Amino acid sequence: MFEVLHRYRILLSCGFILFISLLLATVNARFPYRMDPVGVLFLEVMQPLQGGLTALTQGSVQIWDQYRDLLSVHQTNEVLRTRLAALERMHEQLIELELDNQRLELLLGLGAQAPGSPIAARVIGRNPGVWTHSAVLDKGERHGIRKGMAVLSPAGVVGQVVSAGPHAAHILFISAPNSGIDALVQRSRVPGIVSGTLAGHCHLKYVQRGSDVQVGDVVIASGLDGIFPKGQQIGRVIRIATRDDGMFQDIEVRLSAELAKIEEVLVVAPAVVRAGAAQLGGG
Amino acid sequence: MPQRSSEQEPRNSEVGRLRTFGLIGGCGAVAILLQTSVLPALPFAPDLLLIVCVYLGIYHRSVGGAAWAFFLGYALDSCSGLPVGAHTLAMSLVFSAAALMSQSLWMNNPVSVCGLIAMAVLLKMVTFLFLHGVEWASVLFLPLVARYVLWDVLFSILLTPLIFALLAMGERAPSRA
Repeated sequence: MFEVLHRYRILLSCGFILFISLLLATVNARFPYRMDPVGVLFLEVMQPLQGGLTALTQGSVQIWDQYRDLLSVHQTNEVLRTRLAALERMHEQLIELELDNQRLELLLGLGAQAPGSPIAARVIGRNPGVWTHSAVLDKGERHGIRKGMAVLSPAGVVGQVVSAGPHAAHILFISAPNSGIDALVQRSRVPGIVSGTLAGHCHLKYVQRGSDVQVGDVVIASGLDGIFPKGQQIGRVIRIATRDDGMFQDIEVRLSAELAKIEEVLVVAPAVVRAGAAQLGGG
Repeated sequence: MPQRSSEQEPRNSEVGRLRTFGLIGGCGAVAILLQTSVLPALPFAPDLLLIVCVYLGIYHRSVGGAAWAFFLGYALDSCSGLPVGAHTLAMSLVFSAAALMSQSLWMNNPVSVCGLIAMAVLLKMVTFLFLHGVEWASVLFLPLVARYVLWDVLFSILLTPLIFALLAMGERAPSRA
């Protein structure tokens, strides 16, 4: 008997534990979570270790989650930085467009006031030389621009067209030494000629000593030269020097138009041309 | 994978038996602790105790081995919060299958052990489904369940050499007694 038991001990022990397990499973399936003293004993032994290890695991998982969150925050930060840079660029473009818009509106207002059919043009090139004061416009003869036309900006007189090609034109600023505009002091109507200097300043020349000119007086185009519309602002008197000798005063004028920064201009036909055109139109 | 024969291992001495007793108990306790505390935090939790039971089935085909498989399953049931019986039956079945197979088949090679581990995972899954009154044959081939079982098999097979090597090293370590 014992020999048989010993011979089949594996089989018998397997059968026994399977039977007991099945019995346990069946009983517990019918009465789940009944009192189990052996299980309680196991749990009492394991509970402190389980508690410690679970806390350690949860701590590690939490640290890992925080690390992942941190990585995610870093990535989000990068994305937001890129987006912010794009938005900043867009904002700058919008500001630029707004400024363009404002300038063009002013130009449009000037165009409505200017006689004849003024031609709006953009400055597309400047002469980098110190002694020459000229620029290139993006419109030429094809657009109606001719040599001798007045160039204006909303701020004031800019210069004159000195040559015109089919699609571009050269202008000479009034700050050039070889330019000259017949002008008036707006307040006292004292006449003179505004002309540039090599240093880039403008002077109101040929004003007799004793004439009523003060610092801050506005200087406007007289219209007598037949090129610049009468009343167009040229600049303001900033300095008056009376020399001991000579007939005239030395009057320095600051131009109203910032020639170095000008971007859009209005080209206006000379008064004689306008008059001719008006006669042709009338006839 | 440790290559050895259960017949070649002399385990007659009391010291050897005590050491094996302590080793299996210690490994089982560690496995239960890891399985109930650490591994649930991972996406796939391999059953370490199942690997220990397969080891017992191959290398400790005895009444003691069967008792260990039963008690380890029981302890896992108690510590995992399940009603007692599911893991007990599963581990008993795994031990029985491993013991009976290794009694009649040559199981001391890595391929056979891997096959046995895969079979043990499936056996455990079927036992659970059976105990929950689910028609296991239909559920086992659902994509989600099949994927879970496949991952479980894969992780268990990957961990088997490590656990077998640790247990074998523990049993072979020179005694100080």
